[in-house]
Amino acid sequence: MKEVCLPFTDLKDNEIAEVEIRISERKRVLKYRIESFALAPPEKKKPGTNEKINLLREMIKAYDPDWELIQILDSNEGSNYVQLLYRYKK
Amino acid sequence: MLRTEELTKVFRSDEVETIALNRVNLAVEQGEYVAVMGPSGCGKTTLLNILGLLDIPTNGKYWFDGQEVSQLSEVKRTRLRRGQIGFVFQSFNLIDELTIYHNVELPLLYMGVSASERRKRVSKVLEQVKITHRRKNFPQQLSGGQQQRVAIARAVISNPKIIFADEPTGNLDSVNGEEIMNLLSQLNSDGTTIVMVTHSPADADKAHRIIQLFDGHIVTENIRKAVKIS
Ligand SMILES: Nc1ncnc2c1ncn2[C@@H]1O[C@H](COP(=O)(O)OP(=O)(O)OP(=O)(O)O)[C@@H](O)[C@H]1O
Ligand SMILES: [Mg+2]
Repeated sequence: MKEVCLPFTDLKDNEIAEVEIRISERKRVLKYRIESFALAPPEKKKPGTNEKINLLREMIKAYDPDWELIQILDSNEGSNYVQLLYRYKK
Repeated sequence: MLRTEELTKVFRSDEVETIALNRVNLAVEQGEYVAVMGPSGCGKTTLLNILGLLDIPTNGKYWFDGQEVSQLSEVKRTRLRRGQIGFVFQSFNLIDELTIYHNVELPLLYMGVSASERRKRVSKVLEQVKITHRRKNFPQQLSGGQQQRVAIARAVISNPKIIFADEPTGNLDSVNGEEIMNLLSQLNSDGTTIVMVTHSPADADKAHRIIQLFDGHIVTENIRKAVKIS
């Protein structure tokens, strides 16, 4: 087994989820975080695609270097948020 | 091995226009193992199909093995693919009417390889993916994991320089998926370049480099380990 699937019942657009996994025998702790980024303030018009992409690139670059980006998650259709899965570097 | 410059793909149908790839700049070195990740619909398959010469870009340039191929005709692309490129798909794409043996042999027939040479190579590769005992069966008689092993055998039979794999473990349970991943890693350590699309972070971890696509753009790359230069 290499992956565990955790269903989140109600993770809102702008909420951060943190998951910690302890593997006792190997004394290893894995920490994951799902971070939400707003790509545009909800009341504003959507930025043009390129603007949005540059913003996302900047946000990823500026993120806490102790955490590494694992995956960009599927977001809800029409959402102005993008959710990123990070893992804590030991 | 391959390089793109401002690679762009636009799909037009009636009123809607989808920019599936937006100015993608990418280079893959010989011997590298690259994973491509990103949300559904971000352009992963589109990218793989263009890199694998199954499709052509709307704009931009693409060099495959030193040759600019972005606007090559279908005939020329097919010729270039044969013997150079292997494909592995999520849904295996085996031919139901052919036995396992003949599915794997098919690329060699297209290449005009002699019968005795064909027999030798098919036997060897079936052995490699541990499916020899099933060579007389038809795809539908095999499990998903077994079918994907056959698909890998078919992809490597022509000794391609590069293998493109689109979610190769997408339809498999974790045990069978792991076996397929081990086969791909083995092929890579033997020198085959691999570009693999995946939704699985664990599978992506096997690669040297992970590319994150979003909305048709490469947003970031992450080096996992050094490429072993052979
Ligand atoms: N033949 C086509 N005609 C029109 N639109 C297409 C075509 N192929 C792909 N698209 C569109 O291009 C975009 C990228 O599709 P693509 O199949 O490359 O996504 P993907 O990243 O592989 O997604 P998934 O993870 O779901 O397989 C999508 O919006 C899709 O609807
Ligand atoms: Mg796809």
